[in-house]
Amino acid sequence: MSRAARAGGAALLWAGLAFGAGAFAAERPVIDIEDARQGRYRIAVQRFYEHPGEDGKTPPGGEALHRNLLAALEFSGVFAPLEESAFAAEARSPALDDEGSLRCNAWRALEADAVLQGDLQHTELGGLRARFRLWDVPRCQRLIRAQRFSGTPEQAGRIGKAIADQAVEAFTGLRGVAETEIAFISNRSGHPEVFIMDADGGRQRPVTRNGSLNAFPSWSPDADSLVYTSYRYRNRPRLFLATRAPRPAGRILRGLGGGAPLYRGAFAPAGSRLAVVMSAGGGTELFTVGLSGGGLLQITRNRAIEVSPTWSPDGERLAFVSDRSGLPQIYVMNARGGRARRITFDGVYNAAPSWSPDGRWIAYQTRVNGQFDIWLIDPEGRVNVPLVTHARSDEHPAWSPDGRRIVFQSGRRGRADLYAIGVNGSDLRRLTERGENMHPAWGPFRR
Amino acid sequence: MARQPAQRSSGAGAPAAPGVWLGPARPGSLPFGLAVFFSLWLHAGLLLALVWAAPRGAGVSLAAPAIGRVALVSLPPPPEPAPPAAPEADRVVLPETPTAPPGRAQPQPDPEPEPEPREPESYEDVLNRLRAEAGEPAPAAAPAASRAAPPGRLASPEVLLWSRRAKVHVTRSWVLGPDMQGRVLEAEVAVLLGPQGQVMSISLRRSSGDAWFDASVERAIGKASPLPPPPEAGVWVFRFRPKDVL
Repeated sequence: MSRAARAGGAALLWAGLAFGAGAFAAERPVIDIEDARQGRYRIAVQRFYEHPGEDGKTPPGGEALHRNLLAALEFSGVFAPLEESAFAAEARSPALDDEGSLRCNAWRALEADAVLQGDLQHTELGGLRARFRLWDVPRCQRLIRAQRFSGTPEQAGRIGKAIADQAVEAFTGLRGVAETEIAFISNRSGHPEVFIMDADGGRQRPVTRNGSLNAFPSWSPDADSLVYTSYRYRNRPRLFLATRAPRPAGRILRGLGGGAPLYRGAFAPAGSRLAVVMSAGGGTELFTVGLSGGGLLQITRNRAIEVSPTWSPDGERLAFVSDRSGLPQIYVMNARGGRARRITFDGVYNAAPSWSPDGRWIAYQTRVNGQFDIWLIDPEGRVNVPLVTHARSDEHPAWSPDGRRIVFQSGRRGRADLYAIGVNGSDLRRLTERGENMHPAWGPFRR
Repeated sequence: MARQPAQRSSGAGAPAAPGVWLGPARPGSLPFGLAVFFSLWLHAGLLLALVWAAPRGAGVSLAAPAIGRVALVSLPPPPEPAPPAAPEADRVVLPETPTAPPGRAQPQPDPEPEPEPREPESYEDVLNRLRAEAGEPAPAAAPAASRAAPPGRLASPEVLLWSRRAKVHVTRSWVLGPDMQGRVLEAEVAVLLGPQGQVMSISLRRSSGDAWFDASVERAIGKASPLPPPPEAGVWVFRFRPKDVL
């Protein structure tokens, strides 16, 4: 915005004050706005300008990028893409070679809150380069001038999702999760295997094919590895690592506890340690241990069953389930040991805790009338509110890394499916279609 | 003598009679005597009240205590010149004014802005009323309550009605992400409105401390433009403070 425009605005403001010194000047109340709409920003996504290559051909991938970008914006819960017919005259973006300008009033007349523009270019070696620009229409500001992504033409869809996530961040300060993934267990191939899918339910693909029983995947904080429980080795529960990073995959913590059963592992937020559930002393106890098996630390020590550890985002505390009171209830304790504090007192069966990324809530399942609902409780156990209630069971909640949603398994269709829901209870959507789908774990942001 | 009224009150109707003075007056009956007695007392009382009140200027001083109390309770600080003086950097100026032509938006240059002198006068009015109430002689030439609205007075119905409509309008435009909900945030913006309700500039008067929340507030105002035409063009203040949702 030019200085002249600002000065003009200031002059108008003064003039307005003088103007406002009339009959109502002394009695203008402050107008309180207390209810925000649970709405979305309306975004116009222009089709990316395609710079022709030296051979005159347009770069590939434009359609996939556009389609994925729209879907990811829609999925974000933050934006609602406008129908292209509403801005048919300006459906195509200009090239982003200059600073650009926007006719804010024209877009405001279309009730657009945001305009997303971009262009696509060939790169050497057959790659694709995309740039995008984002405008804030009500404030008539350019939020992003030209952010660049590159990849192979096959990655065009993923670039579209990455752009959507950046647009979400530019409007809300919190990155979108379209590019993240969800790991889960599905028996669609006949056995419960580990699968992953995109956050919106797209590209569902198997991680394991061992024909055994697999359960409880947990992401490493770099989003490159999963630890999971499998009975594939001598039909006893062990922990395994699946990875796309250059680190050894397969069975981990082999000699731990003299070969005692390992029921579950959960990566610490720092990624260097795991919380594990292991048989010990007639019950199951919580331990923390390095990935290579070093630095074993026993956290709980009693004859009760302690399971389902979840880390606080700062890695300082663990929430878990214990039946030390005679019933499964949720406890919180220091991750280095000490006294556990019970936080759930309502209900006779509370389980599957999941700590929110901002640390303020623990989602968990609680039994009501013979089935489970999903509630949120704060780590001190003072505030306890329902999130998902249904006549059929909703179980195993897991937070999205932006804390805006929860993925959970539900039997509401008669068999287990995975659903995502906004933490304000809005925007419920089913993510799986085939087989029984369980134990979701929403992966962290990719770096 | 004593039986007649007793019969009437039970016969002519308990429903109609109680408290009604218009029953057939029978000279010499006890109620009539009572009525005369009360009537006399009332008249005497009225007379006394008039005599007592006359030297103080009946009309004005009778109304005064109520106004004085209201004004005292909610006497606001002197008018705040803050919005226009807000630093340049905080201001979001919309480059294009939507509806009103620039000529109309330009108000008649008002050589003597009035808000400054208005406030002390009103305060004096209040003091005068208090003096009157306390029995002190009012200083000469104390202006009556007919001038500007005293501070703390209820806004006019026109302003209140518009405020409500503006509130609905802006609320509709305000989008707040779920991550903002449940947090205690509050921001205040001064909005310069043209006569047709068009937003001409937005000035952040009090930040919430969260840049994204502030942005959502400015966006809501920008998006709400044009608001319903205000009773008067000029600066209006909006305070955004979401209720605790989660």
